[in-house]
Amino acid sequence: MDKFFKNYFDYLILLGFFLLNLSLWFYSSPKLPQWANVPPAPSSISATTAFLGDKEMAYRSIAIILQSFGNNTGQIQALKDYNYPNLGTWFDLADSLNKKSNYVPFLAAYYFGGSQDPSELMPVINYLRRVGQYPDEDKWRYLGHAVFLAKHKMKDTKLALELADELAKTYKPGMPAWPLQMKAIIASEMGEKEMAYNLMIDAITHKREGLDPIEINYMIDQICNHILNPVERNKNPLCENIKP
Amino acid sequence: MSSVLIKYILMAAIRDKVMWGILAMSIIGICLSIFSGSAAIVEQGQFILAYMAGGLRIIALMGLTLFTIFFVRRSFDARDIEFLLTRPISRLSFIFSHIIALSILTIIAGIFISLIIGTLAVHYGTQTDVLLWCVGVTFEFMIVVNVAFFFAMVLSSPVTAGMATFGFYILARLMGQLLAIMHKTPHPETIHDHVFNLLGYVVGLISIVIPRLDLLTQTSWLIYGGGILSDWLFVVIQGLVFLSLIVVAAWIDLRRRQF
Repeated sequence: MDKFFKNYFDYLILLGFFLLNLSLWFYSSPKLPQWANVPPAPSSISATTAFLGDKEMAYRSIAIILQSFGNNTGQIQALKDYNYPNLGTWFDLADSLNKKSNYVPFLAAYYFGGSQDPSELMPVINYLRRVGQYPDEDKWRYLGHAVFLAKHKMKDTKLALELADELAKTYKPGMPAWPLQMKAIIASEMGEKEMAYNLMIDAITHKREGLDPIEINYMIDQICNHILNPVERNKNPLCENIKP
Repeated sequence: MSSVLIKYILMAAIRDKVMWGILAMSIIGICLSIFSGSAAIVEQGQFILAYMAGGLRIIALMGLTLFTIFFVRRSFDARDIEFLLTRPISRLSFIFSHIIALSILTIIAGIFISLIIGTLAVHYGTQTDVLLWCVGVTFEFMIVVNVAFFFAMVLSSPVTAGMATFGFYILARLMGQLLAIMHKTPHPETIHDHVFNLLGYVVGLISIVIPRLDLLTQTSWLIYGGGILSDWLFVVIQGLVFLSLIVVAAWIDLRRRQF
């Protein structure tokens, strides 16, 4: 027995430490990472510092983190469970790091905008509202998406009308006509027929240049078949050749 | 300046397979960047470009820095430097030969990375200032590698020299951020205000001798362009001015050294 211990003493010590490790494994292995929901975003300075002062690298890495917030522990979470107010702080952070990229606005509009709980969408709408007013090419589309979220997801037509007004202000010749028409369409649906009529007439009269004839025909059709009632329609010379 | 000594240092770099090491690590960096960038739902090209630019820059910088530090410390330990200085070569010429040889290495690494990033930028058709980024990254390598040379000359341990160099690099990359958060109360009233004002002045003083590497290589140039003449001038002037400071500091150290 003594000889056995003498010969295999080192192996016994190894076995002892292996068993110690094994017992520790029984304790630690059930401790799986838990989804901690969306935490508040760090400051812009902290985020840039973490990437050695490289703002672009910080932006791209944060954008990927944003995209995979709900499945970074392998447990897929529904968007309705996300902390949207905190998510809004991440949008602000991304915005402070890079105002030119379309990545986070796209993610906000088409991914986070799809939440099963539309009442949470305000941070997304606020972010898209801000980005949509940047002068860069095609940024106005995000404001258009904000109108969509407000009207069709949150069912807040008053907010949608406010956003549509801001969207109409971003109009420049060469853009499609729907940013111009949006406010009139929403006003018409809200029963504000006079406002809708005036907006459409203003668009046809003053912003005609660069508009496709099909767009103008669409606006005339909207006026004659949706905004005006049959009596007004018969009196309006604009509707003379328009089929009901 | 001694062409023989320059050749000797370049031969040491070849012998130590520095460039092969950087190439091997770069291949891993490229693969990881493509993998990570491909996870993005839009703008995948921009993601890959940003990750690759940041990753390859760090990889090349670490390879060059480690080679420089271990080469210099090995030369001291093997008494190569003492032997070289017994030859008809001045101490200033010794320093210049090292600076030039190490700068040649950084230019080679800079060209290598620039070729990869340039090809990628053309492939993804991003609106870029690739050339400005390439010149910036080469100057960044040149500054950090020559700082590593200085620390390796001054500090006797390769570990402390390495840590000092990486500390310098981190500080230089973050100097813009530190200056931005520097606390300055115009009319200090409490002790807290005075202490933070003092710390602000200390950071301000430190920033005089730390180059602004965050302005030297900006990844956003690769994606959105936007580099203007003042950026070009800053990159070149910052590189040359700081290199001069390092050359003089290393020369003074060697001149006063007793063997």
